[in-house]
Amino acid sequence: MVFSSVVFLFVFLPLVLLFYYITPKKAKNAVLLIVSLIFYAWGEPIYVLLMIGSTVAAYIFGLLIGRFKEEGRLKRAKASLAGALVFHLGCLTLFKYANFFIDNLNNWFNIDISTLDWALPIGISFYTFQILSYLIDVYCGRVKVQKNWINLAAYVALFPQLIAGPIVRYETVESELSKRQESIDLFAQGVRRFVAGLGKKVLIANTVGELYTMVHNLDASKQSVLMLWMASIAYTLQIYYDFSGYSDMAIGLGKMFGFHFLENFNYPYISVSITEFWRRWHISLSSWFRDYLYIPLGGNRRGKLIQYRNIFIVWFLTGFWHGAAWNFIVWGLYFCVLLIIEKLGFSNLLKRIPLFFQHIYTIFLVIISWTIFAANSMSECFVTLKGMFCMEGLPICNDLTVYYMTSYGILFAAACIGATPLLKRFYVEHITTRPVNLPMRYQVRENHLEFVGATREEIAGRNRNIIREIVELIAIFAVLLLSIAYLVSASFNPFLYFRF
Amino acid sequence: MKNKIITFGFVMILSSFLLAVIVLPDREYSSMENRYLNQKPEFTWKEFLNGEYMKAVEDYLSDQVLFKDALVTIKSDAEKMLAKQESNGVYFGENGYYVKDYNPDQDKYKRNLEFIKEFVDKYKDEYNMAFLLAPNVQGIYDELVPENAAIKDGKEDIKTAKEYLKDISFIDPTWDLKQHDNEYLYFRTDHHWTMRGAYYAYAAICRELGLDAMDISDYDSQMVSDEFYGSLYSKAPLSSVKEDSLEVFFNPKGRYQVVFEDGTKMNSLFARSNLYTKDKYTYFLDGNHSFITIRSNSASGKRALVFKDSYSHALLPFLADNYSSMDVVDLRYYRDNLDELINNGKYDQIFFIYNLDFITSDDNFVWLQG
Repeated sequence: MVFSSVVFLFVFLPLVLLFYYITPKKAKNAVLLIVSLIFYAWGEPIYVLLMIGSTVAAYIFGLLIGRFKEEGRLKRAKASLAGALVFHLGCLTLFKYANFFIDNLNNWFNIDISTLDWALPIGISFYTFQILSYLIDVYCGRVKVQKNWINLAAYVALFPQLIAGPIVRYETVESELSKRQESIDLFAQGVRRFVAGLGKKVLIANTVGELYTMVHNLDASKQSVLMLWMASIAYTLQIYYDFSGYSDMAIGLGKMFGFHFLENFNYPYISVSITEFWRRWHISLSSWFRDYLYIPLGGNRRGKLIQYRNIFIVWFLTGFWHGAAWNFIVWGLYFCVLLIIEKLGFSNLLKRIPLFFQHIYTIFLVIISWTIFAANSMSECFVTLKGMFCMEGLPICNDLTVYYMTSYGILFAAACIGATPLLKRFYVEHITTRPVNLPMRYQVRENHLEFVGATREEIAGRNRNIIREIVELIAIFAVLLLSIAYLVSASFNPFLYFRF
Repeated sequence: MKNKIITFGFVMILSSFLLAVIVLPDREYSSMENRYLNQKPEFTWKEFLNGEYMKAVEDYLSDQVLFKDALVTIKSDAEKMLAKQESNGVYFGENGYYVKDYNPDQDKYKRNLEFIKEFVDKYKDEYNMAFLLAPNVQGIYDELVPENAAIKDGKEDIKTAKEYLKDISFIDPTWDLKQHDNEYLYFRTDHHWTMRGAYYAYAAICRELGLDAMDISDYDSQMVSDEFYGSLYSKAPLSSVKEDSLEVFFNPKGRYQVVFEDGTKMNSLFARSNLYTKDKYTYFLDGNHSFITIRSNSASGKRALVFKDSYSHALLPFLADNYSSMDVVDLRYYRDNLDELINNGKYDQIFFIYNLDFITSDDNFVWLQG
């Protein structure tokens, strides 16, 4: 099931909220577990068994590692962890990468191994990484073993972050799994966040994404250089709004159930370097690779050469994590090269040019990266890139390009502004309210106290607050209603993460 | 306080949609969208395991959602506000006109023309034949279409047809319609022309074939409806829509009988009761039928056979005055033997009356092969 569907909004979510809040505290995690399994089974009625299997394995491995550590038998603990890694990464490889390897082997050696005719289980990359974070943290002693199987299973399957992230680490929710406090204030925060994310996905990502699909379905004779650039920018906007929208919805839903997940995006497109971009984009993934791969490999403490090797491994795998296809690997290595170049001193050079050009440099490279990412194959990717750089003989501009510009201009402009913190800053400064308690002020006058009350400014401040509250309410419900309108009449509502 | 409103408002909105689906009876048909709506799917393990069931539930809920028509209108309004110039296959034109996208598949178009030509070659020695190819709204008013939009006006395509059908009378009424382009020739919200537009095409036929045509002012004209929301409106409903009106021309001396394929009869060219349905264009000749016979008190004694699409429905009422009897075939639905029909019919004239959008996209011209 996806959040941006009628089934989720009008059937699943209201019923889940009802069951969750009428259930006594002790059984709430069980409710979350059951509804999460239903949520997953709705999209993957067969692979839900695989997820259950993985969870059972994670529970047992966790117990083993914990027991051996407690008994001081570190070798066995290490062996258990190794076993767990083999099992979980094995599942991931088998279900996600097997066909990729078979295809390439067939290609290289001209042989004919038949491919497996099973589809990729949605979300497997996300929940496998969550499980690994738990097991590795248990081994390293960063978290305690979860002895309650319901709690662990609820953590793995928790539907808000199950299929499109963020990758919530066990340590983030460890304490909240056993003890958390739901409240109306937190719930309302969750609603704000969820509605914002829904709007980002349905109103912006889907609509700009339409343009990308339209342009790439066009006959080459109707394309132009500018149009291809527009399409790439459209995809750049689409993937940000879609992905961060999902994260917002996940964080918001988490709050409705009393959880606090970490932020996953921090305005990545305002970055002034690729290094900064990756500190702001899909934070839960890059920090996962940093903490569970880069640092254990030695990070930057074992000499430059080892460091570059580590960067290479991390970015090769980051690319590969996004999908079992060459263009994802190329995409990862593309960033690997850029990051190493920046590390080699280019970033110092960069800091000396005007800020504007730093932004241009970054967003330009990011747009190119998404062009690689969005392509269905390497050959398609080359054709598009050559087209964008005037090497396919396309006209610079044509009538249809102008038409698309007028049709999508406003949406693009709005989406660009929305990808910066401007809107948020405006919201915080002009819409959110700080509680204003009108003071009871007295003044000493001769021999008695005289009631003075609030100043005119203070009263005006309170009145302004009331207006702001009304504006915020209208904004939230307008976005919700508009998103619903777009959803029920939508023909274009893609799920981008089926390859992750 | 605010947080309470947000929390309860959110929960109430979602659950009222849920309650509405549970409590309210499901709608079967949407006259707005002119289609049958998805009904509650039956649960089977097979369909559950292959995912069909989940898709069916999503389709069912999207169709049955509370205030669906209003929600769709909100969406088109929002798109229009964002300066999007098309939605769901229609362009938002000038002056409240909707324009249906037109980018025909040339191969299919030529295939259709081949079918027609084959048929024409078979019968042209025995019968007088005439082909009326009606342009669509952008063929007359090219300024309606958003600038630079990838939609064709169809002029080239009319030339193609003319080339294929040069052996028979080929009538392109574009010039006649353009002479009157300040009049109400096409509906704003529907993909058809008005009866007034059809009249000028009829006049072109008469000129070409040497038939007598009454002057348009000699008909009794009447506005039978002023709230027609057509098929293009349904695709992208805007709240700022300018609804259409339905102008009808009656020959005061004409007497008519229409016999439908099932034997039912109507002593008028117009189905009055259809003015109370959404698709008011079906007022003309009761909309689509596989086969009808139109008899009139015309003194000509002549018989005609007509192959047609729905553009003809507004035109045939005029042509009925020139022929005592017309057999009208809709190839989309007619499955009886055509040779037999033609050989038994003693026709003086065979007509083809089609609009460009239809003839370039329909799949049923293959039935002309018999």
